[in-house]
Formats: sequence, C-alpha cells, structure tokens
Amino acid sequence: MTFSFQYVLQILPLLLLGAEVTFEATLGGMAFALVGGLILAVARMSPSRPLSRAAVAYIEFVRSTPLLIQLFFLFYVLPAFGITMSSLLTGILGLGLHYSTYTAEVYRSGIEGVPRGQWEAAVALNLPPFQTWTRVILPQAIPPIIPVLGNYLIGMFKDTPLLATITVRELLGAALNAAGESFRYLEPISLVGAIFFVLSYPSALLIRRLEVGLAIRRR
Amino acid sequence: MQYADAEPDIGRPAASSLAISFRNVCKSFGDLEVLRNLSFDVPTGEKLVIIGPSGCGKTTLLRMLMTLEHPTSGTIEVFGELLGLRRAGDALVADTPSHIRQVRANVGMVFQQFNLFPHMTALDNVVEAPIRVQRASKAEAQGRGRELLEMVGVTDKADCYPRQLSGGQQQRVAIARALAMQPRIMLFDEITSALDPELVGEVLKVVRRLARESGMTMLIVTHEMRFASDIADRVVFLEGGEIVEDAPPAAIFSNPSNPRTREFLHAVLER
Repeated sequence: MTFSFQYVLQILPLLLLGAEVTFEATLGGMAFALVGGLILAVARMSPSRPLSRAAVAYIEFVRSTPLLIQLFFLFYVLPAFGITMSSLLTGILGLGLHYSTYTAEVYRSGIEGVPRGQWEAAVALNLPPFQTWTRVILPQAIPPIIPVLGNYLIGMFKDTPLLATITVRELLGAALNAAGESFRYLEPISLVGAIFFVLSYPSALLIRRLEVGLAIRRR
Repeated sequence: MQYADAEPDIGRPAASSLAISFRNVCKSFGDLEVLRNLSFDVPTGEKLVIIGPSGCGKTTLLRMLMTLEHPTSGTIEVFGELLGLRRAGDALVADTPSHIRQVRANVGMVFQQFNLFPHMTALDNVVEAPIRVQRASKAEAQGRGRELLEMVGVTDKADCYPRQLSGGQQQRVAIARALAMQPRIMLFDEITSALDPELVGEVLKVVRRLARESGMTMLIVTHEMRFASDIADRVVFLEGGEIVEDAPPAAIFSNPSNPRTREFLHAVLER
C-alpha cells in the first residue's frame, strides 16, 4: 500500500469541513465548560450545605463515568424522554458537561489560593457576595489557573473524535466517511492525526506563552 | 477634609450614645476559650485602646465586631442594634444578611496584614466599595478617594499597585480604603505589627491625626504603648479572655492597679 498524495488532495476539502465542525464542537464545549465549571465551583464552595453537596455529588458522578457513555446517554436515551437535539449540539453539551466537572476543580484550586484576608477585607468593606466574587476573588483566582484550563481545553479538543460515534461529521467522522467509500484508510486517518497535531501543538505553545505573559504581568 | 462624622446619618435610627455594647460575650474555638463572659460599653466617639498579651482575645474581640467571628454566646450591639442576631419573640435568631450588612456598615477595619486588593491600584482599592456598595458615582468616589489618599500621605502613589508600595504605604492606603466607607466605628487590629520598625511611625501618625480630628469611635489593638497612651481616652487590659483592668491611660500606664497589668507593661516597656 502506498501513500497517495493525490488521494489526500481529493479528500482534503471534505476533511477541512470536518475540521470546522471539530472546531465548533471544541469552542462550544469550551464555553460551556468554562461557565459551567465556574458555577459548579462556586456552588461547591457555597455555605449552603445542600447546594454544595449536590455539586460534589454531580462532580464525582460525572467524573466517574466515561465521556463516551455520557454521549450515548444524551444521544440515544434522552430522545426517549422527548428531548431531541442535533447531534452536534448533543456533542457540545456532552463535552461541556463532562469537562465542566474538571474545570470546576481547577477553579476551586484557584479560589482556594486566594488568601483569607481578601475575603475578610471584602466583608470589612461590606461588599455583597456577588461583588466579592466578581471584583475581588475571581480576578485573583483565575489568572494563575488559565494555563491549566487551557490544557483541559486541548484535552477536550482531542476528545472530539468521540463525537463521531454519535454521528457528528467532525474530523474523524468525515475521514471515516471518505474511507468508507474508497476503502482506503491510510490517508484519511493519517491526515486526521496530522491535522490534530497541527492544531494542538501550536495551541500548547500558545498556552505556554500565555503562562509566561501572566507571570510577567503579575510581577 | 471630610471624615466620617459621629453624627447619625439621615435615615438611620437615632444613635444610641453607646457605639458598642458587649453583653456576656463568650467565644470558644473548639475547647479553647478565647473570651469569657465579656461585658463592656464603648461610648460614641471614644478612643479605646485594647492591650494584652498575645492570645488574650483582643484580635478576636475586634473580629467579632466586624462579623468575621461570631460569639459562642452573648450579644453585641452596635449603636443600639444587635449585631448578627435579631429578636424573634423571646428568642435570638440569626439575623438576615441584609440587616447584618446594614448594621455592619457602621464599622470599618484595618488589618495587620493590610489585605489590599493586589489586582487594583491604590486609588481603585479606595473607591471600589463606595462605587459598588454605596453606589457613588465614579467621579465622586475618585475625588473623595484622592482626598483620602492625600490625607494619609500617599497622593503620588494613587496609580500604583500594592506590590509597588512599601508596607507603610500599603497600610496607609488600607486606612484610606476603610475611611472611604465613612464608618462611624473604626477597628485597628495591630496595624503596625507587620511593618518594618522604620515604617511604623508614618502609619501611627495618620491614626493619631485621625483620632484627634475625627469624632469616630475607635478601637485600637496595639503593642505600641507610647502611641496608646497618646491617643487613648481609655485603656482596657485583656488577659485570658477577661478584662483585667479598665482605666484612663494616665492611670493604667503610670500606676496600674492590677499586678498582672503591671507585669505586662513592665515586660513590654522593657523590651
């Protein structure tokens, strides 16, 4: 079997369309995980016992079950209860729900890194809880964890091929589709790997630069 | 210069002549009894200095007034209003957050470790709460904030971040920040203990002036005895969670009646 560049050129447009879907799924999942994780982290640290216990239970449950199963549940089981979404939206939701439990723990570590005195100063100034979070705590908690969040996002990006299993025509889905027609797997699958590499490696470098930039700004 | 004045603001309930009133306040951390059945009053406008060996409960006392700690039993009143509690029939129950905030608005605090917000400039530290809590306009808050920074002598550092300031400057900004909320009671919790010795004077100077020129009620926990005797209307010596001696500064510093006070003062002054 020889590697055919001609075949590569032939399927490239199709794969780039798939890459676009991968990109959408990553951005959507990321937005979801960043917001959802923050909500979970704050709920977990809430003085209300039931709320914080519910958050812990949710986090532990989701982290202890595979993403693939969660995707299948959303895609195959929810419609039985009358909840139907497009496969891409289902994928974004699944990635977001799954990764928000990880980002929640990252946020938590950032929040716990803020000295106690900052909370006390906020009380002494009579800042309401919302302002205490948005003006005092989070602006100090988030910058140090941006690189960690970034790494989870790259992780999420590399998990997007799982969406192929729920019929999302993302990068892998598109490649399998092409391969199914030509019975050639070498080029499509290699190409998928190459595209992932070309996208994740620079992202990792970008995060490194961000990390350094933040360190400088904080000095 | 506009200080928070001792007069009640319009719309607030008429001020009691007592700023603070502790009644049978006990505080324990687990098995450790920090304050034992403490009862005392602070009249409005009084400058009360609290001294005592470390671990005697003086910081806890201030922190309870700021609602950073809560009494295990007993009650605290601020201008005649219960702090952290409300009456429900004959019982006392936890107060609503909004009313706690309302009572707490009377109180400001300066901490040993400054606790400035590191991601905000000096001026932003000062104007943050007036803008967010009192809904002051930005221009108004900044105008007042600059006046306060001028008063504490850090005008030229308004746009610096805390990390660019010396400890003494940071603490003076922290004083300005607390004053910006116009509290009627100010708590100073060992505000020079974290400072290099040569920076202590500049911070004490600010507090001295404040004590002289404002009608604010001030509670000051300090180990600086000269400073204490200069500004205090009254000094309380606290040991083992109890008030051992309560007297005007002249009496307590020149002729303490209690042997334990004498011992403590001797140890501190001989340092």
